[in-house]
Amino acid sequence: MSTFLCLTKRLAKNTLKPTFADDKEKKKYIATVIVLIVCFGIPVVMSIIGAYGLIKSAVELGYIEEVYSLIFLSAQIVTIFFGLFAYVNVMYFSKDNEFLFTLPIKSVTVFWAKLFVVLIYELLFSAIIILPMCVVGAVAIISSGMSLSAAYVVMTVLAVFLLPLMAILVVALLSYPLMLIFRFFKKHPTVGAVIAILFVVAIYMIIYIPILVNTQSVDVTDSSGDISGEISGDASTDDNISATELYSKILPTISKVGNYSYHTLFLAKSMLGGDGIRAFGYAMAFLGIVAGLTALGTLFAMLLYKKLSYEVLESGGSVGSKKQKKPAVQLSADKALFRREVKSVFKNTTLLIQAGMITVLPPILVFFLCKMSFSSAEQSANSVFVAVGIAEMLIKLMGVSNLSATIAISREGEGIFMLKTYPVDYDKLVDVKLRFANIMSWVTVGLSTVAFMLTGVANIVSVIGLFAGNMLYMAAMNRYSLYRDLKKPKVHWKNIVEITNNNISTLIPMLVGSAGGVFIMIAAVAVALLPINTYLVALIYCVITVGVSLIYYFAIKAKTKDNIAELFERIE
Amino acid sequence: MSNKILSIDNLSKKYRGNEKYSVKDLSFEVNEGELYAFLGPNGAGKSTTIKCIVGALPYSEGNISVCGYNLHDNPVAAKKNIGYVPDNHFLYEGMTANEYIDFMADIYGVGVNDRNARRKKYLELFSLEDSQDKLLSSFSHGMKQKVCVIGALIHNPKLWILDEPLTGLDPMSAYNLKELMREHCKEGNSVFFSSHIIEVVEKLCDKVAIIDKGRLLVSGSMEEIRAKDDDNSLEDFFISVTQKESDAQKVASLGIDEESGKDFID
Repeated sequence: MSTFLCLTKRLAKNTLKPTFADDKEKKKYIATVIVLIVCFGIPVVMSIIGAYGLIKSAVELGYIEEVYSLIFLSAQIVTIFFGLFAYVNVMYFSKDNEFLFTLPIKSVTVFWAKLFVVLIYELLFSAIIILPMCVVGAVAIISSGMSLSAAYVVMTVLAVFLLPLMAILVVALLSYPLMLIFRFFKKHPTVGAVIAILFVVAIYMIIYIPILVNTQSVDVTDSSGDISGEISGDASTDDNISATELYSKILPTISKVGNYSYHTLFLAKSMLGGDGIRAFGYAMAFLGIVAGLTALGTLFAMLLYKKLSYEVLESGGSVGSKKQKKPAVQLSADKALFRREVKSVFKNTTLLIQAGMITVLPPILVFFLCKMSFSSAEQSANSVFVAVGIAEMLIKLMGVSNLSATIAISREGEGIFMLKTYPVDYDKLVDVKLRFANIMSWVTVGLSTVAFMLTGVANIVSVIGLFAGNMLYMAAMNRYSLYRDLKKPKVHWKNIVEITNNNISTLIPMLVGSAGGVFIMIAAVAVALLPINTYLVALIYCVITVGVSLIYYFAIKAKTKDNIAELFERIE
Repeated sequence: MSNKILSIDNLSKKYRGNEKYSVKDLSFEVNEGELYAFLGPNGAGKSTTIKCIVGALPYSEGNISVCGYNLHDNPVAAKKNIGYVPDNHFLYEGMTANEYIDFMADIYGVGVNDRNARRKKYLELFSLEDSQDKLLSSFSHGMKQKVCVIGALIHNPKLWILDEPLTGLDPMSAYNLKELMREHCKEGNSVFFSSHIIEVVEKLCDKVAIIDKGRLLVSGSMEEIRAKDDDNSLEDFFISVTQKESDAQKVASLGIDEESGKDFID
């Protein structure tokens, strides 16, 4: 077996294969996976149904290649979004780098083996989008009377592997400037983290702004187009235009975005361009881009990967600080623990990046997505509450991923055993962790509320509801996440990514938290359909969001009544 | 003349962002069949030196050669001749002991017959036969250390490097490990290890090097060191050369050039 295959197999097995202490745990895991498949399956099936109509209309209107291009691009953006954190951790901050560099393996081999592990993980995300879409697309195309060649099947298989590979290679290339930023600001870690986050946000904006610009040009309003009265309170639901009419208006816009992404357009053209030389030429162009990106990734890996990994090893995976030692001041145990908690996140590059992303991304996404939904959706009074619903969902989705709570215990690693030796009540240890997690979440909620206000789409009552509801909701969810992690922590890890891989304890709070978000989002939109004044709609929304948060808070408080000391004692 | 298995020539290592050298102008050689100990107080630079030799850390100054292969120019060939047991025994905990051993054998290109013979021998020696198919996550500190040792020996390396190998081992396993180190040398290989247990070093080793603050204070055979220090114990000698106050006096009396930290015996 070649060194590359041997290493890839071992790394993949270690990172991705779940291990179970007993049969009961295995059964529980399988049951949760089924629940997850059902939960994620519903939106996937709904998207597929939507895609069928879209693709059918696209065939009729002659935009099929552009639509495929956009679907492929979306899959890649999802991969980049989820892949960046996993990539940086697996590549640079994994504890196995020191071990791997002592083995007689070239650093480029280590790079590719690790990249494949990240790729296998990301394949799951992209396959959920690409494969069903291509199958449904084929059905829609054939039912529209258009024929498909064998190239469609071949390129679909290639697309499933190559599109995420390209996305991961882009992530790999993006990681170098990111790591260089951290190196440059090594002595000012917070500044480094802020600039790194701004860099990532800028990258997303570069991808996103052309899409935003293109989609804002779509005009799906009726002939009057005047919505000012509706926003100001005269709620009325206009007659909906038919799906075909809507597609005929949306498709020219989508085609602009699809055309803007050359590599996915080449892929789409190679699949749909018939059997001729033209399709072959596009396939070669697409494969050429993949080969070029692979060559670039290998070149950069040879030049920089080992160098940057060594630097992380030398710094022990932490960010340094230039600050001079302050004179010792006696703190209370509570304050000392809180300070330790803050430093454990802010002095660790990996945790700092993720904490920063989860704090900074929601307000940015809230601002842009709410703005976009308001400008591109059917503009009526309820589009205001579509924006409210989006803001609700985004804040809650990001909030339930707050690692200060979800992996509060696990991220201590084996250091948790040292923590257990401290002469401090376990309740106090948990209390400090919860307080820190809440502060992190509340900052996110505060910033997101400000971003939402800046969009200018909603009235003050909705803003108050959004703020109050989410502050309470985050307090509840942090408590639940921390409790789940305390109940079954994963402290024996080599790479922080291992904590969340195949970890039901971190998934369940995310599901529970997201369910509340979905409910409030639907409720916000549904309430807006009522023929009442917008302020009254906002008031009802307020009652719902705060009410749901209160229910969550008290239900979780009741559920987490277990003896903290006993749970802490059980950690082994 | 003996074959050089490890040759270190003016090795200097400075960590990124640090102004001071962790290791400075270090030079010594380990020959075929030698059991060589590396001594020094905490923070002396032992682990840094070892990590540079095995390729876990980069170095910018000096040269390291293993079996004639320069680590900088030909790292893969050099590493093929090394078996390394780190102080923190890194292991993939999702693997079983057997899977880990197979992984190491695959990486070093060891054939099935050889690996199975060695696996059987070492698993028996360390009483791990019953645990070979259990996940490493369920192993104790000492058991993990033993698995690391087996992984490092599976390709019968010319140079076996161990960083604090006796920490956490039970007396029987520690005895077996020491015997294994001797046996490895008798077969024409070399062992280079760091330790704080001076009695073990004194009984076990052919040669010793002592470093402090990144500089080599002394290196040579046990006989040479005893002869130079009025037949005192190695412990007395170690304490005397590393004690800051008496360094200058001791170094001067033994002829060490304090500025360069140059080897005074070889």
